[in-house]
Amino acid sequence: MSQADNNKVVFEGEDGNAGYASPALDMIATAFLLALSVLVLVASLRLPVPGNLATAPGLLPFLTAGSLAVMAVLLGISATVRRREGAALWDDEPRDRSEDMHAIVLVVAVAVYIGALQGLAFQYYFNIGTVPMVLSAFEPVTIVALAAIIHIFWRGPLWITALVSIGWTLTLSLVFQKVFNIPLPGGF
Amino acid sequence: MLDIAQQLLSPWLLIMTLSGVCLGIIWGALPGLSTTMAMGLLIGLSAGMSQDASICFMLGVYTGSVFGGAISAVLINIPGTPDAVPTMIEGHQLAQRGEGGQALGMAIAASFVGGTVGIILLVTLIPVILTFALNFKSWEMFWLAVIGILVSGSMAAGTMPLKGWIAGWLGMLVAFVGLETIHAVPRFTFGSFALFDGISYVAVLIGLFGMAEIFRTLPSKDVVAIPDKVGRIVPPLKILAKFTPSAIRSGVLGTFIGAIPGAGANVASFLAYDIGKRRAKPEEKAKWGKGSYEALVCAETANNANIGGSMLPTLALGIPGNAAAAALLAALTLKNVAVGPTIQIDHPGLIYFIYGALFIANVMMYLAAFALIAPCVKLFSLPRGILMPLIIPVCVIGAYAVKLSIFDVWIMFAAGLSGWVLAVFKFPVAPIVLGVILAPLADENLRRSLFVFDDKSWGFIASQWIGTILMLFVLLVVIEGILRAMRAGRATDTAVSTRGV
Repeated sequence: MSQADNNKVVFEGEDGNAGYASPALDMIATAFLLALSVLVLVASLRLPVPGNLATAPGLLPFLTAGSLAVMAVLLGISATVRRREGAALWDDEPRDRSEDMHAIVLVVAVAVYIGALQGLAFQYYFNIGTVPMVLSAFEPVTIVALAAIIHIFWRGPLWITALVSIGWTLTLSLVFQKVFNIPLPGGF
Repeated sequence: MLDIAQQLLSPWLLIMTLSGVCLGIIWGALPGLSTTMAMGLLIGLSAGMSQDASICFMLGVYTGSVFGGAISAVLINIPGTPDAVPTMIEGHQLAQRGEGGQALGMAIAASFVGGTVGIILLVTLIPVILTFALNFKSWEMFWLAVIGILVSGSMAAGTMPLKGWIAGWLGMLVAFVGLETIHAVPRFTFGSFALFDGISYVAVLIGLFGMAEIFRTLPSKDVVAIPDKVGRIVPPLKILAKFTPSAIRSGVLGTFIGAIPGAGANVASFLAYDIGKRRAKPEEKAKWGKGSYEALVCAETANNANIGGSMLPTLALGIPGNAAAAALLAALTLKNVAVGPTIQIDHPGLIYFIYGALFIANVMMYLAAFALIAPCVKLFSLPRGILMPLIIPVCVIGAYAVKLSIFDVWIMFAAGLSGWVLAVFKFPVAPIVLGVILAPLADENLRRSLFVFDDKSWGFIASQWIGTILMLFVLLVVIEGILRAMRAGRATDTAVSTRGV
């Protein structure tokens, strides 16, 4: 059981997660938001108007994209002003490359997991006693994906990794299929 | 009345209520599994029950799942339900300080008070609240939706409300994808049939708050504050008594918001949270966003009071107060119960049975919540390298379960990636969810009201006094946000000049 070391805990509220980024990041965000706004403005103007202009399907998307463009410009101005006042263009703190690599590995692992659920979908019906059961790609794919991800990020004994992966997958499978009557992904 | 009380206190119905409450709490506690989803998916289970048992079970699920969202919000910073976002903002800060148990204890007490206030108002003020709610027409509903998104943006982005509003607007753009409701014109679908149904807000919610949190925290070397001990769960009576006025105010607000069709617990909890901050004493206001018990009480009381409020239009008019109430309506219809103005004639005594069942579910929630926290703490206290991967298949199932669509799982994955990128760019993600949920409401009601106002003068529009008041409130939120950003900018300038940069 991991003990949280209070000296190392980073206290970060919602305010810590949102607010001023470095001027360079805010400028990139401005460029993206402006491009998105223009795209939506054009797309909403191209939408058909079956009835009156007041009920046009593109009305609120147009207004939303227009006001988003204004807010993007304000964000850009704020970043420019901060840069002129002497703020560093990029954050001074260097990013942890190994953390970034781990994050990319995780994203790829989750994408492969979802892709496998979709690509390897199968369904097999059988009975345990008189209880009808369904085995689908969810069980084997989830066991393998979970074991791989836990092994990368925990590095504990392999038998515990395997046990946790198998136990959790079977628990989810039984609870969702038998208690909540919810079919699982990986089947048909 | 005595017959109904005896019936409700029969062991079988008590067991059914308790089962519903426990399932609801556990469901709500699982990240991303919403109250609406719990209600919708458990309708099938209630179909095999008698009418009385079905009502008790479904009301138990409703009450339990609204509270359940607070458990994962406080302990692992992932809201189980959308309305638990303010609880997450405050509760997780408290959990990181080792006060998770007390935060949950306060959340339980606040939920109980909120539920009780909601029921009392449901029973005693039905005519008054109905008159109030019926005054909200399309124009007012549009402004109410805009207020929900703006307030959420304003609250989540701290010193830079602009980023919160941008996030809310991005959420609105996501919600515009799919067939629009008035003319059934496909919008921004780029020829993909999978997008005709729109983008599921549940998938977006799970992605933004579930997957993004996993992408952010699992590779991180920082010690994540998942407590293995949460401390004392029962909150001291002194603290409870201190926040009673805030609880009652938020309860009343939550009930009123719940009575407005379409405005759900998420709007109630964000509004109560916002109003609570404005009315808090300076020393308490300073704690807002950093772990304030009063903020937690405001949010939790409002979202539980919302249950009683949402039952008002559901029972009296047959118009569900929110999506979860719509699921309850469907469950009642399955049992041949026609709710609406004639409910007292068609089903004499049923409305009192529902009041009583709701009250018992609220008491059961209070007791079961204390009992279920310890198992949840055990579950969430696993090492991060084990716990976070375990949430991945739950997120996948949660996104898949709504429409049984693997496309929604990809949407959840994309939302998770977007949430991760947005965190790097220091944008809040909570307003995106409000944008996704409230944009369809805003879109339909704006166009409907403009159609009605087509040949009317500006004077006529201004004479819609509730709409005008709501418009002024929008202006107030924007001005307050701008002033806050300017004050923060001046403070930054002072800090820079002090450092001699």
